[in-house]
Amino acid sequence: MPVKDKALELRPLFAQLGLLGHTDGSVMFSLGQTAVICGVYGPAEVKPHKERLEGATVEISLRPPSGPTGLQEKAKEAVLKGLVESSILGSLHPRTSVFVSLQPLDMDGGELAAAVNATCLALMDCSISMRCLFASVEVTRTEDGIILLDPSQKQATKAVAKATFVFESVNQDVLASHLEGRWSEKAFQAGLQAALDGSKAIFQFYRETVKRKFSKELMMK
Amino acid sequence: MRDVPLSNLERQFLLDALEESKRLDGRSTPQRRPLELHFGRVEGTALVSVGETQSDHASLVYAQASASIAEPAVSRPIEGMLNIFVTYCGSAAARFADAAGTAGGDEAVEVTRLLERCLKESRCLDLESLCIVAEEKVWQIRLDVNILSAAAGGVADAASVAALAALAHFKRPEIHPVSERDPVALAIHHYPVLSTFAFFNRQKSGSNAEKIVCVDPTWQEEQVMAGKIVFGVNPYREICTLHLAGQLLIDKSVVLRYAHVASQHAKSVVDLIKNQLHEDTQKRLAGQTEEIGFAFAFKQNSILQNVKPAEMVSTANLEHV
Repeated sequence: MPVKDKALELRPLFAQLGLLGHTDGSVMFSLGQTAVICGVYGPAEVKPHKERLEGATVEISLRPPSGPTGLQEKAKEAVLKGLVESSILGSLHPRTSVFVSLQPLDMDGGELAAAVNATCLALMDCSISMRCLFASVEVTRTEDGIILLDPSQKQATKAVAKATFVFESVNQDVLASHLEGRWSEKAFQAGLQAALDGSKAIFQFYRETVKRKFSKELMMK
Repeated sequence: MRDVPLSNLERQFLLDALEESKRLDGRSTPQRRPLELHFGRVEGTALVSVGETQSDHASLVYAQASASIAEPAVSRPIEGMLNIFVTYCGSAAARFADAAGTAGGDEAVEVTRLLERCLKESRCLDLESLCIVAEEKVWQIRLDVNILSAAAGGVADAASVAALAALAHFKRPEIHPVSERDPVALAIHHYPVLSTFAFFNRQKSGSNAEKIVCVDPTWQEEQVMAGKIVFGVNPYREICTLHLAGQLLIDKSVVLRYAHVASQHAKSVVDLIKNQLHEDTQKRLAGQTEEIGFAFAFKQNSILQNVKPAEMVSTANLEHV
């Protein structure tokens, strides 16, 4: 059964750092065939009415592939804003702004997960101090109770329930979760475990990406 | 947020170098930068880059065409509609980084107008073929052009290539369900392409002296130039758009000379679009769906890139839960 064989497979990952010249940090990230471009500015000047004395002001702009920004994008922006605010050390940079701009290019399942991972990579490329990294994976459950990790659009057509989890890198705790459909307690735990395993592979990928970026500097020492 | 401005020293250096026909990126004045074009998984999506994608000296433009059914304009009851929307994303430059979404202001308006004149007013798209029922229902084509990075300048040129490629790649559904009839490509009569020429005044001689002309200016050159001409020309050497900006006087013969140069550029761009389109069609026909799309568009051997193949990450037994 082909679906079952690839049930717990994480699709190929690709990242290119520093693609967008005018940003402070940027990445083109793809998860399977879902591709997203992310650019980050910060810590930079903030508009007076958005200024916060206790930390950096985080702003997210997620554009749809076509048409004006809708509710779906606004909902994803809210999730991302919470994630960025809780993971960067904003108190080091009071009265500044951190601006994240995201543009999905291709959609093939796991769009929210790809956007979250791209944001984390762009923040790393931007060298903003963070208390933890974050990584996200989507899992789905088919009708006959098979958990699929990181499914493509085609694989997800048979899904009856969907969940996206975001984990942090220090204690592997859940930072955010987004559920659709019905999840039994047992299935939820199984999905959570699969997503946690997937996130570990993504954290490893982050490390390799940054190691490659600084490989020339590391060789000098 | 504010952009990092170009300092007076940088401006002067650039002008001094141009006086000797040298450019900061090592090009000669009539030379263009490499152009890359990729198509997405969805039909009607295109990503164009100008400059070097392995470093950050590249401009990136993403275009997507989509179709919906609408009522035609009263004055043109048997014609479909083409609407163009240009947005500068927050990542294009720091001045666009605003969640409230100024969406590019004057610059976006300039590019929108250029694209409208180039694609709409040149009537390159056969709008009559988009009519379903006269005076009642026509196809409305929406073309979204998102500028992802403006770091290397040449945004209008790249946007026109992306827009044209997206239209050429797009397939609109027939009015029957997609399962019954295959979607059809749009009828395009000719392919007009924008090309920008930057003009610089010579510093030592008077204002009557012949100006220095740079083809395909970079972002820095755009900051310093005295003015520019933007041509929309198709490979048949027909001028569809002529846009003059900045304070400069230009002789008629200069216009004709550069229109010829622009048409050669148009020819190479149209060849590129047709080749890529052919390749994409072949892959789709052969069912190589894993090779189409933007996912690995810029893949090359660089330390800024990292690739990880698919991997089984968990061995837990998660069946029938």
